[in-house]
Amino acid sequence: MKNKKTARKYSSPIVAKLLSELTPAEELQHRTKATLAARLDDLINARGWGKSEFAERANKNPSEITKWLSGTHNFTVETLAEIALALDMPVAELFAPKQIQVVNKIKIVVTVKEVEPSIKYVTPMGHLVSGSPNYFSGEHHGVMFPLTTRMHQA
Amino acid sequence: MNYEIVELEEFSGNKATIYSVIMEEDEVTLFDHFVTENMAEYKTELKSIAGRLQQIGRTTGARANFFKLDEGKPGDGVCALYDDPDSKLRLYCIRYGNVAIILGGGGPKPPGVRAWQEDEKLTLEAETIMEVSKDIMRRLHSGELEWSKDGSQLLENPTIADDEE
Repeated sequence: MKNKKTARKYSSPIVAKLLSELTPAEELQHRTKATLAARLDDLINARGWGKSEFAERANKNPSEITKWLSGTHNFTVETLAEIALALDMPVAELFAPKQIQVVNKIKIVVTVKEVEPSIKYVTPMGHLVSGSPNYFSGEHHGVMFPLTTRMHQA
Repeated sequence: MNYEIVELEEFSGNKATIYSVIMEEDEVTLFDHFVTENMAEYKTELKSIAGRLQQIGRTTGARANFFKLDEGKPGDGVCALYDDPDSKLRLYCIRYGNVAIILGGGGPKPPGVRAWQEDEKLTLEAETIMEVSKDIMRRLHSGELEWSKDGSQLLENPTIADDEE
């Protein structure tokens, strides 16, 4: 069987020339606009709000929020202050890197009812589950283990 | 339709893979044509687009908010990269989640034009990328193409591709 092929890598002289003409300041401006838009999007989503709800809280038209999130907007201090107020957080936090949520302890309880006799269920820890109805639980400290339950056809 | 999908080295990064297509009997990509056609009049806008595509590939991924979605038919992924507030240079592409995009062509959006259907050049470019999207969907469905496990790389299955030739 032949291996699957990835697309050919293509280097474009005209694109390389365009990029070489970007000054370090311009590159940083693009990065800052894009990351700020991404951060704002994450903060809105983390609150469970849609664009319209955020627009209402910021007292703006939803089309204005679309511009803010487009990665092209040149934010003024005035706008950043309005955003920070609407999100109830300091302006400086808009520039903070995304926090990675670390789960130190997780307990998973899975209840299986009416197990099909021909299927053997195996927990992520490798424990065989049989019988019907059935119940097992897993508890682990430090890292998360996958939520998936492997199923093996008998 | 015959074309080759190529990965653009200048833009792709660990956040998104950025592709374009080379049409049959051509040597450069649709995106290269877009740049060449608009270089004289819109160089500043092109530099901005290039800078943003680089950030999409390396820093943020292809977030939905960066694109004007639903420019094509329902579900075909055809969209347009948002222009700078003062620019009206439109670039069409196909977005596959946050991790991959295929760049097509585009052109200036004349004043008064609200939709690509109202401009001959934009119609040509939008319809071309819509055709590419349709064909890619067909090839994904047949198994000739598939996405890598992380969804960022288009893979070709040579066995099926050879059978269809």
